[in-house]
Amino acid sequence: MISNCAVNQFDVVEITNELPLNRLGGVGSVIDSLISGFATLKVRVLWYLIDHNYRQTEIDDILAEFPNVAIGTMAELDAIRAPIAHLHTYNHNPQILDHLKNKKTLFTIHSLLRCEAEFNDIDLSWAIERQERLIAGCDTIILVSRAELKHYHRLGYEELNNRVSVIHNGLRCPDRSFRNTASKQLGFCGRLVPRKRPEYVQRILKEAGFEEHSSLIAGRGFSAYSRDLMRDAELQRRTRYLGWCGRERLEAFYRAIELLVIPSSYEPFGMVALEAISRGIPIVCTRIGGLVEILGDEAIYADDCGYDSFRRAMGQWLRTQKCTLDAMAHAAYLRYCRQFTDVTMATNYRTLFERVA
Amino acid sequence: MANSHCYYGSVAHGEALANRLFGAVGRYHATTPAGIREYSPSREPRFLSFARSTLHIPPFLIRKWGQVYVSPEAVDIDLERLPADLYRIVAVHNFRMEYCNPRLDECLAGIFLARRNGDVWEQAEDPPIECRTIEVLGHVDSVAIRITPQ
Repeated sequence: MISNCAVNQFDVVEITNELPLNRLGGVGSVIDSLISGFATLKVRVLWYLIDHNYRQTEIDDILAEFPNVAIGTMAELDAIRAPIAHLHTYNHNPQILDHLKNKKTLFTIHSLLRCEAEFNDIDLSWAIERQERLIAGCDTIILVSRAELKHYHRLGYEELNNRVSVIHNGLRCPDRSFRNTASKQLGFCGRLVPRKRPEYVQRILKEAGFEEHSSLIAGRGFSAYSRDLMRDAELQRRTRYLGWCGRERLEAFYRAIELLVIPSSYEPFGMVALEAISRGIPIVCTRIGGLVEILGDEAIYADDCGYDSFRRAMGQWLRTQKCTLDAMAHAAYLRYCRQFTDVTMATNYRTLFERVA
Repeated sequence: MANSHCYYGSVAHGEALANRLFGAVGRYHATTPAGIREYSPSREPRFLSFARSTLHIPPFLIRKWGQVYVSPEAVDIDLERLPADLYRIVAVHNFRMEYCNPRLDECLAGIFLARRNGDVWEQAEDPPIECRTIEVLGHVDSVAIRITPQ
């Protein structure tokens, strides 16, 4: 094990595959806000990095940039003294529980893999089996939205573990930037997987009323489908794929767009919605999952996941006056401030830790 | 049903292909270094080179689709670590690496070494690579230690 601190007594050991540096996905963003939230509350946390893909230079940076980090194996967890072990891992290796026997184990499920398989139409059977074994073996399960809890029940998972809590993700407050209302750029941000429907933000450019618009697509994972869509010469000129954006580039993305679209068919939470409303950017999205819990009435919703509904919602956005969009964005920002900050999330976790310890 | 996407690489099988994606760590490049050569097949006939069994690809940029794709560091690939084969050297827009450059017209490039799969070359767009093909830079025979078409 290597660490940048004495591995002594902590309130909690947070076990993760990624820290907010060269992230794999949304979990890295959640960890970023947990770090700041717990720091504000002065919760003593050890960030334990396991099964990661970082290069040595990145490891050096992680140890220099983030306090209280240890990087080690499952077996080395035995040496960590903390009453709570909180798992965020993508690598659902149930053997990890053998090394956490003297701790209460909490497992935050950032997405239910059985739902990911269903909505992305992919085979994740091997990983699903491991996630389910981990669900059964942990003391408490945390889901990131009430919508995800419904899926949990639909899948019959309460038979595996009925000690379930819902804690919404939170976000550290960014430097507030106001949307670029004249940019004519529509934004999409997220992993480019089928259930997020990244193609909609390209298709909409072909619709009446969007002739002068272009799309900025920030996200991880290109595809043959995206490539084939882009064979349309007009779309090639009007769609820019930015790749997987972090830090200053992500800020630049949000400064450049006047609207964020989230046409997902499944969204366990929707960190990208928080990122947008915390910066005053309005949203057009599907009325699903965690998005409704985050946004309430402060978004323009598509009634279902189909393209026609999305097109109608985008048409509504086009017809909405600027002052109305400003009011909606401001109300969404206030929702963020009240319910979805890093400190709110950390406070909810601390309360849960105290309850189960 | 499709194969697993790269996001699920850590929870699904089939990651070996990803070991043939090379390039800079994006977070170290909030700006594009000055003086990088623009790659052009006609102007750069000897762009790629060998040092023993190591394929050397200097930093480069390629302009395409109204964007600039930048590989800000030299990429050195030890071919002895790969199965002996003929590889296609493909410059790709690296969608697996977080990039921090705030200039949105600049994107992070990487290198994918594709193998033949029957009659066709592996595609960078397919899982688990899921990157965007920009340009084929050449081919390398890791047995003969020979680059073509140079």
